[in-house]
Amino acid sequence: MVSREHVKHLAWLSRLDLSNDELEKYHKEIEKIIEYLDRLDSITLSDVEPRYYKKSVSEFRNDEVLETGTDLSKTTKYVKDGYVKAPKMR
Amino acid sequence: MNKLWSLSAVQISSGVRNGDFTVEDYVFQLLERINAIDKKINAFITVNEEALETAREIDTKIKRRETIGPLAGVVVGVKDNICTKDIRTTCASKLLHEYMPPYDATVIRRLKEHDAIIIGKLNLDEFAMGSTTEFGSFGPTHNPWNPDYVVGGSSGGSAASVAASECTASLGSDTGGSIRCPASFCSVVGFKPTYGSVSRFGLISYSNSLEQIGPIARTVSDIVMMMNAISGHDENDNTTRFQKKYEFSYASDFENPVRFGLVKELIEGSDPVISRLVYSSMDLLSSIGFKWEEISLKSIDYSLASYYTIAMAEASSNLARYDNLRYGFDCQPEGYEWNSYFSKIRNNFGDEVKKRIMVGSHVLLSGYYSKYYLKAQKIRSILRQEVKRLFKYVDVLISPTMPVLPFKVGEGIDDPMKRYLIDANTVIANLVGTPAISIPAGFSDKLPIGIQLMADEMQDQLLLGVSKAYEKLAGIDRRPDFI
Repeated sequence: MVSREHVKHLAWLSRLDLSNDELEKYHKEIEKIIEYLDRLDSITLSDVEPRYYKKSVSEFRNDEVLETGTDLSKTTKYVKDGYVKAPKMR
Repeated sequence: MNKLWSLSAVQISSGVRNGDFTVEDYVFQLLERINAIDKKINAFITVNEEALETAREIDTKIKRRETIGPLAGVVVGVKDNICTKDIRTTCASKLLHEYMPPYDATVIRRLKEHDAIIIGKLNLDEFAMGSTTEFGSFGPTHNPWNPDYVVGGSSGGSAASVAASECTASLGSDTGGSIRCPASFCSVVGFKPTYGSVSRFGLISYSNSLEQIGPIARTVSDIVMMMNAISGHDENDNTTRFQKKYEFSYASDFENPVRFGLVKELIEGSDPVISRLVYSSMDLLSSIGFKWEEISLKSIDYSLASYYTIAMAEASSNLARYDNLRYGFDCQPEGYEWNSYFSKIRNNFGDEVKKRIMVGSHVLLSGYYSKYYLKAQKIRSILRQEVKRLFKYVDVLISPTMPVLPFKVGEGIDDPMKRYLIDANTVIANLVGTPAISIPAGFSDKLPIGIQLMADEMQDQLLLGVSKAYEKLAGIDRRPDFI
C-alpha cells in the first residue's frame, strides 16, 4: 500500500506543486506502478554483483579548458551583470 | 521529376551525383509533401526554414565539382530531443517550448559534415517517456498506415515521417525500444546500435545508462549509410568507442551459417498472429541456409521491473535540472521563494513525466535503495550474463519487436501498467547494451508487424548483414498508399 501522504512526500522531493485533484489521480496510478516494481523484492540476489557501466581510462580526453560559446542572454532574459537571476533562498 | 520523395538514401545520393535531379528539387518536393499530409499525421513539431537554402548550397558544390559528403542530398528528420543549433528543441514539453539550443548535438554536427540536410524536428512522447507518441505537448502522432491507430513511440514522429516519405531517414533515441517500437508499428527499419556506438552529446537525457541514438529508414542499406555518418568516438561522450565503417554486406558474405535463437518467452507472450509471423520469417531465413533453435531467457520475468526502476530513477535525477532559470519559458523569478518557484514551474511537466519522476524519487529513497535500485542493477547483471551465455551458441536472437499490433489512439491510456508491459521484448537490448533492430515482417488487417533481431555487443555489422538478407527475402511494403 502506498499512502496519499507518501505520494505527497514524493511530489515534494520531486519539486512538483500538485493540486489535490492531481494528487488523487497520480496516487492511484503510482500505486499500481510501485506494486509492479515490488516484484523485485520477491527474489533473493545477495550473491550477485550489480551491473554498472565500466570504462577504460585510455579514452579520456585531455584536461583542457575549452570555450563553449554559450550566450545565456539568448536562452533567458533574467540576466544581471553576467549572472542568471534566481529566486531567493529562505 | 516525379515522386523523388519515394527514393531511398542510396538512390538519392547517386541521383544528385549523376545530375539526374537537384537537391533543391528533392527538398522542395518533400516540403510540399509535409505541407500537404502532415496535418493528418502530425510527425513534425518544427520544419527547418533553412532546408531549401542548404539544398541550394549543396547543388552549387556539385555544379562546381567540389568534394561533397557521402550524404549529399539525403534529407534527415530529427527527434525533438536532440539539440539543433538555432532550431528550437522542445522534447514535446511545455518546459522547453521556447528552448533554442546554442549548439548542435554531435550526431547533428556529423550529419552536416556529411552534407545531409536537416528538414525539421519530429514529435515524441514528452522527454521520450512513452511507447505511443500520445504523451507530448503537441498532441499525438498518427500512424500513416491508418491514422486512427497509434504510431508507437517514443520516436513516433521519426518513424511516421519516414513511413510517409516526408524525409529520407530520421534519427530517434531508444531507451527501452523507442526506435524499434514505432519502426515496427510503421513498417520501417529502426536500429538501436550497441551502447557507446553513437555519441549522446546533445541528446536531452532521460535515462543515460540505457538510451542510445539510432537511425530509422525505409531500407537496411540506408541505415548503414546513416550509421557511417553518426557513429564513432566523441570526446564529449565518454561512453563512445572508436568504430570501423559499416559495410553493406549480404547473405553470401557469411562464411558459416548464421545460428538463430528463437526466444521462447517472447514468442509465447505475443499475439498469435505475430508469433506465427516470426516462425514464417524463420522459415524464410532457413531457406538460405541459416540454422535456428528455440532458446529460453529466464530472467525476462524480472527484466521489465528492472528496466522501469532504472529508467525512472535516472529520469528523476536527469530531470532535476529543469529549474527554468538558464533556459525555459518566461516566468519572472523575482518575488518567489526558491522551492515554491521550482515546484510551480515544474508542475508544467505532463502527467506521464510527473509520474515517472515521482516513482523515480520513490525507488531512490534512502530506505528503499537496496529494495529497488540495487536489485534492478543486479537483475541487469544476471540478464547480461544469461544473454552473453546464449551468444556462445547462437549469433542472433529473434523475436517479435512488439507483442501486440498497433492499437487505437487513446485506447487504455489511463492504465499505465498496460502500456508499460508492451515494452517487454525491447528493453532487454537496453539493459544489456546489445544492438537490436526492427525490420518489417508483414501485416495483419493492414497493420504493420515488425520482427526484432538482436546480436551480441559490437556485433552490429553481423546484425545489419543478416537484416539485409532478411529484408531481401521478406520483401515487405514500406510505403502506405493512403497518401
